[in-house]
Amino acid sequence: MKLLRTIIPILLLLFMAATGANAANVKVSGVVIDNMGVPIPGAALVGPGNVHAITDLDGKFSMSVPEGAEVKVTCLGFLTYTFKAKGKSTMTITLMEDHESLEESVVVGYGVQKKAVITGSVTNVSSRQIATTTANDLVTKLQGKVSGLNIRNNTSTPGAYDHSINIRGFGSPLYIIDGINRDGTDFNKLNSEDIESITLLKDASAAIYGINAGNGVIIVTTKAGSEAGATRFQFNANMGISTPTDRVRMANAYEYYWLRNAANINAGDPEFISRDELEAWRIACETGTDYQTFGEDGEIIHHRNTDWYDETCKQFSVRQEYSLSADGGTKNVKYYFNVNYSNDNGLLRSGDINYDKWSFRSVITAKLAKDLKLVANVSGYMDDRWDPAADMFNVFRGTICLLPTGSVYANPFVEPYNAYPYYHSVKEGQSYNAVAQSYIDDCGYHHYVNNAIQSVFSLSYTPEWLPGLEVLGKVSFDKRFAQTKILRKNWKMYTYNELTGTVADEDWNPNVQIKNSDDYTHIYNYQGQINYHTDLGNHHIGASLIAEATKRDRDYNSINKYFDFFTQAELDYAGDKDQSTGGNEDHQRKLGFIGRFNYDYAGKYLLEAAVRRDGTYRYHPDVRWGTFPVFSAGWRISEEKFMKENVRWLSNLKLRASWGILGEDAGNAFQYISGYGIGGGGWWEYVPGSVSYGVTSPALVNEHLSWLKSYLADIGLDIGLFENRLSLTVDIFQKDKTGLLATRSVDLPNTYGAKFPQENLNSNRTKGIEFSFDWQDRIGDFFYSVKGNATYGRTMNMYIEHGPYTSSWSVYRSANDNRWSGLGWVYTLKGQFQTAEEIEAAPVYSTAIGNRYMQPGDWVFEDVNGDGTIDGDDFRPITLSPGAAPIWNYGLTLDGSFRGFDFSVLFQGAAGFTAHYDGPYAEPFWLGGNVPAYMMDSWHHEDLFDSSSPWVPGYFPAIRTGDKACNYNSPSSFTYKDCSYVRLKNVELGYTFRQKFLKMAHIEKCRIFVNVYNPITWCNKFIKAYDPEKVAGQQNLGWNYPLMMTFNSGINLNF
Amino acid sequence: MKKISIILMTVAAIAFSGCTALNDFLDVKPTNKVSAEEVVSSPEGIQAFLANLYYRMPIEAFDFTAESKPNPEQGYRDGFHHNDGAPNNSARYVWLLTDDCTGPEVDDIPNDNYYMWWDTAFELLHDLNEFTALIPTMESINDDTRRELTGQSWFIRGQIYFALARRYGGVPIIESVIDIQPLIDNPNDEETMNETIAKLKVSRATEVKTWDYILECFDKAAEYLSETDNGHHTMATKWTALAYKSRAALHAASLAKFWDEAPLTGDAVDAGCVGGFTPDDMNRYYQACLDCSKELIESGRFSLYMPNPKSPEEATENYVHMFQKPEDAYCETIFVKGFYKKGRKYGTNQDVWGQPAQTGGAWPHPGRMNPTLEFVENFATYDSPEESVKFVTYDGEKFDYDGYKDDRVYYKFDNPLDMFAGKDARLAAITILPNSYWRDTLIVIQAGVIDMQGKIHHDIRGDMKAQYMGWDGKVHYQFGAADNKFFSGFCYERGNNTRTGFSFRKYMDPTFVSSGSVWNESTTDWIDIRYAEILLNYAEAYAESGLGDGGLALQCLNATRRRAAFTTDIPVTVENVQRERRSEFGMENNRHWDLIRRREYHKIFRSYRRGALEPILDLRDGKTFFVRAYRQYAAINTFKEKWYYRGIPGWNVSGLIKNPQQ
Repeated sequence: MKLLRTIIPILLLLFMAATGANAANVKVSGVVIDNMGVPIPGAALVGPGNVHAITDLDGKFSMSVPEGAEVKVTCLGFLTYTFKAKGKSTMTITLMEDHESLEESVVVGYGVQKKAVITGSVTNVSSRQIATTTANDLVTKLQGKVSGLNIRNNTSTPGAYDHSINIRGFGSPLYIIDGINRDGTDFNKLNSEDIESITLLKDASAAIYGINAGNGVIIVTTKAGSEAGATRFQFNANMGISTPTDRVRMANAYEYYWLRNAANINAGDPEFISRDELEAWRIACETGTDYQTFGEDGEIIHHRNTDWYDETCKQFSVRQEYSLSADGGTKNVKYYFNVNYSNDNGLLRSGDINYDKWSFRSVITAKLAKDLKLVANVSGYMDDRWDPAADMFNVFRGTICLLPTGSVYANPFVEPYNAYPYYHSVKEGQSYNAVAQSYIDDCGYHHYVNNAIQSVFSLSYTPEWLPGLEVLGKVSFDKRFAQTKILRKNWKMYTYNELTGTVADEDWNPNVQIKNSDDYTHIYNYQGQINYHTDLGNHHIGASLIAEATKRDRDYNSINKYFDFFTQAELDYAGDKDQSTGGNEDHQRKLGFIGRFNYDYAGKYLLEAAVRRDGTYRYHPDVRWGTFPVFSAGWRISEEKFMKENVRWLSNLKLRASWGILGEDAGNAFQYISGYGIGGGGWWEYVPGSVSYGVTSPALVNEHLSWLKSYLADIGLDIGLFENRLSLTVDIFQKDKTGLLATRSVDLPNTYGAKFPQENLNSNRTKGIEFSFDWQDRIGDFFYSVKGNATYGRTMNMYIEHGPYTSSWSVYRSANDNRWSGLGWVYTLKGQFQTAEEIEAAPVYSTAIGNRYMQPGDWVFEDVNGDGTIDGDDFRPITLSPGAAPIWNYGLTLDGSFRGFDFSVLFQGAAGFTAHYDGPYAEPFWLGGNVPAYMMDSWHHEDLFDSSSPWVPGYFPAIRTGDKACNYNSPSSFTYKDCSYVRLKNVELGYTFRQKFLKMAHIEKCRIFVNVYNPITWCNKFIKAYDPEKVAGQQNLGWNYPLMMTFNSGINLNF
Repeated sequence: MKKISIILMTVAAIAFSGCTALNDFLDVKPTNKVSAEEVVSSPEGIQAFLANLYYRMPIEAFDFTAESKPNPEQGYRDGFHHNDGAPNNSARYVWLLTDDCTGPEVDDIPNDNYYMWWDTAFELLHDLNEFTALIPTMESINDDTRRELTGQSWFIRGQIYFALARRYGGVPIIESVIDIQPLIDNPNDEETMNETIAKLKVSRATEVKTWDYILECFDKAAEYLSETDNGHHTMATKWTALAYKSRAALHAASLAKFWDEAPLTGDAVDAGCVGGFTPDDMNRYYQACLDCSKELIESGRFSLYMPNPKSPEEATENYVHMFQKPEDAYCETIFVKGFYKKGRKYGTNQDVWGQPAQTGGAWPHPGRMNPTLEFVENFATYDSPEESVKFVTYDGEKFDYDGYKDDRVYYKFDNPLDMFAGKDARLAAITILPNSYWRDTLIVIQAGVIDMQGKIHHDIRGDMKAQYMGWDGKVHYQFGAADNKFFSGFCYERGNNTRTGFSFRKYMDPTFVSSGSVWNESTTDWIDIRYAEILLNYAEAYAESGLGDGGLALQCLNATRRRAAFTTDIPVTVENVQRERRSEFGMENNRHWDLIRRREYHKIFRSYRRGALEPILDLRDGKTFFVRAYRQYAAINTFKEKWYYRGIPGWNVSGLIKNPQQ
């Protein structure tokens, strides 16, 4: 892209130099820059009578035109700017970047295409758009910015890169990085500064990537350097402090006792705690101190609240990132180098989370001969991650479930039991002492090291004897090496004995375990490509033939040993008893042949057809080859004469449509091979002390098993208005997926002893609509743009293999075919019982215990079938099932710049998805653990200790436990919450210095910025504490590492 | 230009060389699949091959739980291999469902929820049939291997059908696999579908025919299998086949003789799917048992382990050792299932369940296997070797279970262990008696105390910490101590204490240490069948039928008794044989199947409560007396006659006649 920007104007210049210039009245000179102050080389200035000037490498120009004449400044990738010539010594002309430039080349499958003639649903994101967000990784930087690209972050655990990414709600996309199919991990770990552009193939145009392109393709192109001459360096540094976006506040000791007591009184049991004691705890919590009272014999009774979260976690974690890049080149050699380092030290007070990442990229483009070009793109990363062996899940669960009345150490008031190593032995709500578990020194660690080297070498030959022909060969080799070391130490926890004043210890994990594992992956990819294009008058014809082969081998080994006594975390020092080793290999092969043909007539009528023949090792030789065609067409209505002449405000109007077949791998590989299986079978001890492992008997095989096939259709409209300052895109799409795996529902007699294998039986349909707009303009020196996008996509089951339905009810309840997928069945909530009389008149809520424990405040469910009993028959599909992806995704970006200042504001959100609250968040004192403080807002007696005092209404039903909790937790529209949200994702404010003193220090540009990430969220207030973005299933409900709000500041230096 | 041509040609060669043989490139061999022939081409391969089938054989070893959960939604489980995935078998071993044993939290009988083995049985049969069909087609194996594989195939088939017939009566006999590949290839061809499924529906054979088939399987196995193995008796030989035939034939013969004691009605009976035995069948089966048992005995390959102890104490130690270390008793063991190592799928749990509470260590649930009073009383004494000797607890003992009565004059002992003096040596080998030593710990089993005022405290829900002053001026507790670490009996709390007065010893590894929370840490091997059973099978067949050799039967019956330090012979009567079986096979699986085949379950379990012998410490004089009582908070169990046959899962889809009252 940059190359074109540079070359075309130079050609123009040569052309114009030949035509000569007319005499002029005024000399106009100056510099052309972009809105960030960067000089634009190669911009063309055109005055009346075809007077021309072209900016040089520093953006400078000089020309003579008549006074008052209109001069047009044009440059590829920028909106045209017009000014009136005045006799001014020097002037600065700022051009506005054209987000939707139609002339720009966009990377599409195996090649580039001018945006104007693209017929597929393709979206392009530039490096500049990515850079407006400062966040942990590339994926988080893309969130909300691209229509159709739906991203959710599941955790901010340093080094976890746990995101859900899909295109239009289809499922995991295919990643193509520098032309090579790579993994999601590779994409996640890309250094965002290395990226030149990202392209999304959202419709059938993805079919060119064959099997597994069925869910769309994300194509990443990395930077390649420029022919600018002198080397340009860029140094970036930023530092961020992060704190959870929100968290569920758990009850403090007073609230805990208050609720515990309420639970007893509400259930008609004796009080749990005396009034005086409760009061003492209230004071203790309010003052935050150890409040002491005195018992009957004058002994001291302590009251001290423990906030397990605060004991375990810091207020904020710190993240830093530095990178240095160099790019430059000459006509024959271009280069780009980058090294990047980042570090995140996590939230734990112990400091025992740590993540370091190094990455580099080296891209060299060399002209080996006049018509032969070599590109060598080598990159790699090394990351290194530590966390406590107890697992973050267990640590965070501890901060949720442990009782605030407990203590971190065996006895907080008696030395030495109030300090290390006397961790209190507690277990509540399946959690152990969270503080103890957060220390590597105590419980051991996980240590992950990931190394990867990726390389692509391509050689292209563009012979002079046949212009338009290109022959391209590409070889890539990737190697990934992941090393994991786990050390689980034996540690002790202690219980204080009041009577003896001593502690009893308990051993945790009696056997100290050490486990090392290595995981190597080698990926080879070979591509050969012949491209040809030619123009016959208005007929533009292009064709490509491509062959591609991929080979992927993986090798995994692990060793597990136990220490008789622990000395050093070395395998050599561990004992031989019960040691075990393991390992396996995996080999994959793929082949593809692609033919593509493009045609357009005068850039008006566009046509493209492509077909890929893809073969994979996974399936039976008879069915392993698949054909994936795609057809697309476009009509640029705006290019028609009648439009061009009559509708001048319309700069672009393109109608396009595409249809194609896409594939996606299904099931395990080799299901076609019948054979005796190794591993997984039984075993027999023929000779005492040694074992023979059995081979498993062959299962029935399905030789026809093949990939899932999708038929994807898309109709889109691209509109550009007011010289493209406003652009709009609308797409409607439908994807029919067939061949989803299912087992035949035909009942075989169970005496047959075998079951049908999986077959490609089921189908579904995803349809949706996607739109985006982009408005950009300037008011004097104030440049701004507003970009928005929204995607709606929902999946409906079509054919679902099922057994016979036994009744119309079973059809209603269990039939899934021709229904939206992901419906949640719950009771219909009508409110809360207000009085005992209402309960008496109510239907029966439990056939086992009746309504005898029901209390005012309990949920009123609708007895839908009117049978006087509330049971499973009263469920209705009135909600969405938790964990299903949001139906709506949207984003809005506001960017602007003014005289060195720049800002960017991003809103992002999703709607149409649900979370289900259970476990500690819905069931009071779940497994003996703590309760969320929000349960204080529950029905309770006016006098907490008197069950005959009147009820005080609350948001939650009256707290009780066990059977007496009644329908507290029943699935209803109360426990299934709508998670729709809008969040202010990112705000960044920067200022760029261009002062003289910088120049003297050889610094071309210096930008400083502050940024806040995830500052505000609008959603259901209940959901907010859990963070709606990551809510998915119980384990994510605040039991894992939270999502973070981050304040960043940083500097970008160019020199 | 020349250079360029060379470079281009090289690149083209690299890029397209991989494409010359396209399918070759894509032909990746899976790393986890292999053909049967490749496997059985070496002796180790045969072992590996059989390992899978052996592993799946229905052996009711320590990794078996009698409880079944046939509902797939609850996680289908058929009782075998509970140590793989669902390690918590709740200690429902076979003997826990008989009148021999109970547990604080299990007091049950084999009702509808037990002993299901259907789907996985036919899965194993399917795989076996597929393999059996392969044997003659394999070209790379020699005739010896072919014979061996054929024999193993018949042996496993015999095991499958034996387990099925014991549970369900007559079952479909399926010897080959019908290929349903056409159904997969032509999913829409309904005609083929219906035809094939009709072929797959094999009806049940009659029960008589099924038992005949089982005997035939073991005969064939004995014909083909070799006579020797590696000496560890972990692999079937001719003798293994004969031993199981002896067990199966006796089972069939007993059914033929006693079926009418619990007659059933219904379609299955009319069709002969259950029942339908004739006297001829009975004699045929008894004769078969006698013949194969005799062949085994006369082969001279087996003998009892330590057949001539010098004293009852030595007899106890010998007997205990055989089960703790089956590998030392090769002369007696005929088929052993080894447990290779600790851990999921490999180890078992009997050590943690069985330990008395005092030696349970870190394990939270010991004390779950409690031998009953009835089991203990079944043993003869050396003074009265020909009868089960019941305990006389008070003057004028009426042998009822009505518990403590303060008007009775109980016999008191300084050492409670004296109550059991003179009992069969095997009693102390199978159970831990009150006040005996286990793992150097005095096992305290005490149900209650009589306080100084003469009031009894023996409700097992009593407060373990309540203090009572005693004759010696010291504090005493109801269960013998204030903390469960120091007693093993009766206290209701946590369900870790024996409810009968007896704790479990057989199989227990005295060196076992639990790590506290990890399942499947026991590795003691399981003896599935041993020579003693062949002897007693012969004795029983003779006693029940009058067929066979009376002199041999007399030798058979008394051999195990002599091993238990009895010195005089007793005659071969039905009663003597049954008492001896219950004594010799205490806490093995035999009792359950004996009650089934002899149709005694429903006679014993008729509103039945298991009995306990409660040691009570009289604090007035420091002596202990015993109270005969029902196990406190016992379940009252009645065995329904229909439970002699398990319900058949999916009978309607499979086109089978269901079992009576299913």
